[in-house]
Amino acid sequence: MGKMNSQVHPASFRDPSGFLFHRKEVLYRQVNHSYQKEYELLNSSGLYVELVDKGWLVRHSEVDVEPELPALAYKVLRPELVEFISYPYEWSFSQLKDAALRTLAIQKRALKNGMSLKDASAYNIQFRDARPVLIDTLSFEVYHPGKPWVAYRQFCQHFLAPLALMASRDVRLNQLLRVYMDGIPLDLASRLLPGRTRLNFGLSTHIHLHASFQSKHASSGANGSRESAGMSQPALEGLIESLRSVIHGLRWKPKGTEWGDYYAETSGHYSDAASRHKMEIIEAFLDQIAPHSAWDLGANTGLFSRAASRRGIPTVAFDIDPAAVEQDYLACKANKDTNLLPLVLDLTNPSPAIGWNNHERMSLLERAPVDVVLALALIHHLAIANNVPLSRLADFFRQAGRWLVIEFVPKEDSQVQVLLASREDIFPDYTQQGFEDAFKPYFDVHSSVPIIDTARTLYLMERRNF
Amino acid sequence: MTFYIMGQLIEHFSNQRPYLDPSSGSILIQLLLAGLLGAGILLRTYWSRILKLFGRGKQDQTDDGEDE
Repeated sequence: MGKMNSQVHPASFRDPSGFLFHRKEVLYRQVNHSYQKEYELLNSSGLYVELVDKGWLVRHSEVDVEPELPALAYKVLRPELVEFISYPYEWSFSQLKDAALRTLAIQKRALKNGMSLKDASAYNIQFRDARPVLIDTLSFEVYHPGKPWVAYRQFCQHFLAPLALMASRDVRLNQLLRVYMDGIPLDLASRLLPGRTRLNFGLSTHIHLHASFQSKHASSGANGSRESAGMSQPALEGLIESLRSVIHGLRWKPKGTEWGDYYAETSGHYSDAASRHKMEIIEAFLDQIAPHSAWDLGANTGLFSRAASRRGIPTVAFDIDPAAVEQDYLACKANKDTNLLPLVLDLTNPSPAIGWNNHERMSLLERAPVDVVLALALIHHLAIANNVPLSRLADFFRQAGRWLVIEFVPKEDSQVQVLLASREDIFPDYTQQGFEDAFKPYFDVHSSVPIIDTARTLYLMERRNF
Repeated sequence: MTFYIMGQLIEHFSNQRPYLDPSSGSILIQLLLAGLLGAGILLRTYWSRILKLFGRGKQDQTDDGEDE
């Protein structure tokens, strides 16, 4: 059959219209005969070209490749890839908001072209060049006037409920998406939202009333015989506009931080000279190894991530602080920093593999390795605040990437003193020598440079046996 | 009456066999909102036409999906 080394994508099984498969490390999408009519309309209506030209939908080419399941196959497509697959529980508030607005904008364009989104999953949106893009070409169905939006429930669960909770209750509640993979159940969202959200027309209808309709009519299934007028197209457009309007109105700004100079506040312990020197060392390391991809772990607002992204290196900037990631993302948008993707991540409990068979959404390390990992002003948080032994840190970084740019922050550093102020020092091995001894079994040290005005040292390491 | 309309819709849906469960309650609330929101859109359309008559019409709202 010539299908050696091919594998159906483990997350691609719900929609009978087609599926993704890998063959010889290339990703393809099989379109099934059952989707032929929709696929033809997507092209003939001009919707495909319009969305691709706007950058709202990934481009694909039709390829002459043997289908994975020939009996079902209509066509095989080769989609353009996004650099890094991220998930809604890793997005900051504005990333989820932009993904939601993009989904609605696509649905508006689809309706104007006689089609409609048949799903509105947040997992169908990815970030490419700092902008949200739909990656599922088979998400469109033929629009039948009178028909309500089949993906309305999903849209409210995947987008509106988490955004409302983040804006009105607590920004950390987007982490519920890690537990509820098909979005936050609306009855739960309704219970968690503050009472004042019932005074907001959009939230009161699309979440609170919606939730009560769902519970009241959960098992209704009466039969009718005549065609129903149902929901007119203006009414459906009104529904989409209402969702757009309520989402547009949701805002989140971090409390307790000066929005404008967030970075200055959190990095105040560096002198200007030290900060400049640190940047120079990192840039020299990057020029030396010329990586094709980078992760900045503990990136804060991405000051040093930009050393990589400015060089055209696709860079993911992870931080645990939703406020820092939010500011980083807004800066990326404002400056059109297309090589940088900021994401929220708790390194002490990184994103797990979740979903059916634990294979639908990848863990962090399943998305590794990258060419270079930056771990700047990070190690003391993991080793001292979180008690991870240095050798385990080395083992983790070894899995994450080939090259490692890591900053050792010794105990005499003021930031480590802050961490040790409230606890017993149970870290006798946390010394520069102990650090080198722990990392040497896993990495070859190519370079180490002390940062002026500090007790810190930057290392360039390469993982062994690569 | 509600059940009657819903029955028709569910029939309609079952002929089209969506692969997602749209959930009965989620269909019903859309129907409830339909009248309200459809009327809103019509009003807005006519209002913008009236404004245009007087040369005060706005460009179509941007819908590029990015806030601000």
